[in-house]
Amino acid sequence: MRIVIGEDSTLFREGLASLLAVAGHEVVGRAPDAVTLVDLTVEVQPDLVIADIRMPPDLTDDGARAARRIRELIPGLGIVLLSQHIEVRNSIELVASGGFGYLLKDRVLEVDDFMEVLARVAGGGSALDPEVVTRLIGRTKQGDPLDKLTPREQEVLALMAEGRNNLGIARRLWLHHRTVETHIGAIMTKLGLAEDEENHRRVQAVLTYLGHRDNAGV
Amino acid sequence: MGLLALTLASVGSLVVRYRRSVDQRRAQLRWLLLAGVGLVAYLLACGGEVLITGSTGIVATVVGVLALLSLPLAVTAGMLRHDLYEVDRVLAATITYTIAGLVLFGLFVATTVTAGLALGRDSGATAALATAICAAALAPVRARVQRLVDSRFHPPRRAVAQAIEQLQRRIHAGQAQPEELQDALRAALRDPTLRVGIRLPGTRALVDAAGSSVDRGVMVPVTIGGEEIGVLVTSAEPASTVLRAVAPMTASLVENIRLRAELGVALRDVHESRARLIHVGNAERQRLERDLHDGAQQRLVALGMAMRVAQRQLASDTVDIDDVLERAVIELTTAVTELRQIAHGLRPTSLDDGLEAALTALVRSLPIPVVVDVPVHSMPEDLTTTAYYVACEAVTNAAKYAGAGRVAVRVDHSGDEVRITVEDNGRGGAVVRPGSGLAGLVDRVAALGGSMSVRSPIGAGTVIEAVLPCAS
Repeated sequence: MRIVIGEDSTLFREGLASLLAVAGHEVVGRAPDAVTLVDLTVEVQPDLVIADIRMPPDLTDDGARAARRIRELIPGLGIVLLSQHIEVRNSIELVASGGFGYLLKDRVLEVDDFMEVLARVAGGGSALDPEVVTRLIGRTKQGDPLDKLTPREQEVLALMAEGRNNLGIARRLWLHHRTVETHIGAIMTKLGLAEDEENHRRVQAVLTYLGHRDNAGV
Repeated sequence: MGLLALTLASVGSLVVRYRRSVDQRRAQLRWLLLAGVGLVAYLLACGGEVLITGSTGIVATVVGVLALLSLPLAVTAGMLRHDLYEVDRVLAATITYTIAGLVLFGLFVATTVTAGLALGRDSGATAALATAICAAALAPVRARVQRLVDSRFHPPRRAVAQAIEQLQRRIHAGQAQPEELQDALRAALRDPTLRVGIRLPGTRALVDAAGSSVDRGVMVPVTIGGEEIGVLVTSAEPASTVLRAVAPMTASLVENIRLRAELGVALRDVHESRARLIHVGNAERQRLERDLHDGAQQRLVALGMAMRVAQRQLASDTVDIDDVLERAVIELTTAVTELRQIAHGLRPTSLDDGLEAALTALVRSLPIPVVVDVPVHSMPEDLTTTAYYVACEAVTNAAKYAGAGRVAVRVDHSGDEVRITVEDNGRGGAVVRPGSGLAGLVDRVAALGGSMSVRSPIGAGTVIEAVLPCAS
């Protein structure tokens, strides 16, 4: 894949670039700030963008804003956002829209998983950091519909929320993919969500459900 | 005749009793006097009505009934509620209006007679003239009589004493605040321009209870133990004599107002200082979070990535493993150093060995000679840390901005206080600006109940001194 990196720390940027190169990807652009990132992406039209959320000029959520801008300019281009720490609200919003990934920076060290995420997002899928998913599912309250799920179904739900497809879930849990399908059917029914064959629409439904569960006061 | 003699005898006995008795009994007797005045008012009403209509009628009857009722009522009030100082006011008012009525009545008769002689009897003009003169004379006569009566029955000193006593009683009952002293004095002295000014401790400014400055008018000082705590102010010069007489009576209330105002100021300071400390704390946490994320954490992740790259290339035998490990250790060492510096910013670890060791280590890194004179024995943790920060900030300022050639740090721990003094021979002119390091120190010191002063005349060095209370 042809990849553009947006990252202000030289140390991290160059480290990531060599990691990607070793994995067989081509780094076609390196941007040290959000403005350069947008311009560079439009110029080189890569297959994927990897960007730090906190970048100059403001050192706040410049990377996320640049990502939204890129989405407007080149719809369908996969973008993986990296963050030093977890922020739940913004991340679900982005990831639920598909073609987005949101990961902690340390996940880069799990090279195989990380490369899988890159491929998934580039293909229009989603990827949400397991830490965010844990927090989303962990916010259980009295009478929460998630209580109705069996422990196995909860595991499947978590992997689904991370953006994995049926095959990915099956491999991770050492299950047959038919079993996974059955679990997913049960989960969707228990949570009252519409079943959808397409992976990213399903992730969208699950994330929207999890994200709004708090606000709706369920 | 016998009745008149008896009446005079009773009045005489009452006068004697009044003169011999003291406050409480006098107050009771004054209620009786009120009833006695009612009797006079009755006679006056009869005379007036006879003169105008030719015989006693409705007015005389009403006043008579009231006068008769007033005797038992006054006796009851005198027995049960003699502590109501208001009797003086009522008495003074009754007497004032009775006398004013008498005077006006006399004036009316005199005018009628004089005009009657001049213009002939039963002239309509006579009555009109007499009425006009009486109407014109009403206000000045009433005012003059009131002053005379007040000076006898309701003198300013007593009026003020009563007003203050009543106010204190209401304050006690939770119905009033000491700050109402000004209104009470205005009412008692009938002086609407009167103001009560207080001198807040530590300032020369005079302010009233609402906080606005009191600066014009005739000022009469209110003192306690020779110290001026406030003033009574009036715009009317003659009234100042009265104010001088009553000022001592107001002292305890003025002191009360002053202490309450001082407390209010102190509380506001504490609130502001607490808000600043929280703000500084939040900003500090944010800075730490950033330092950790962008510094050590970033470095460690990068190190991990470098190791992964090496791992992947290991098979191809193109990697210099010794070089990779060497660079990894260098990165690790840097990360550890950064972490240590961040932790040091939280609380200098050198303080573990005591204040003396920490300060000695601190000044060793400075480019100018610093003399450190600190007791070796240990102090409570809070004091040690605060003392360290005071010394640290002051010494750094001296080295960085003051261009000092020499700095002395002294810590004295004596009795129940710790005194930190930092003195330099730099260019001076240091001020405590909001948001500056020095302002942060002032808050830090105040949070421990201490105080900090900065003396920094331009061109003559700087002395920063903090005094912290120490329980041990």
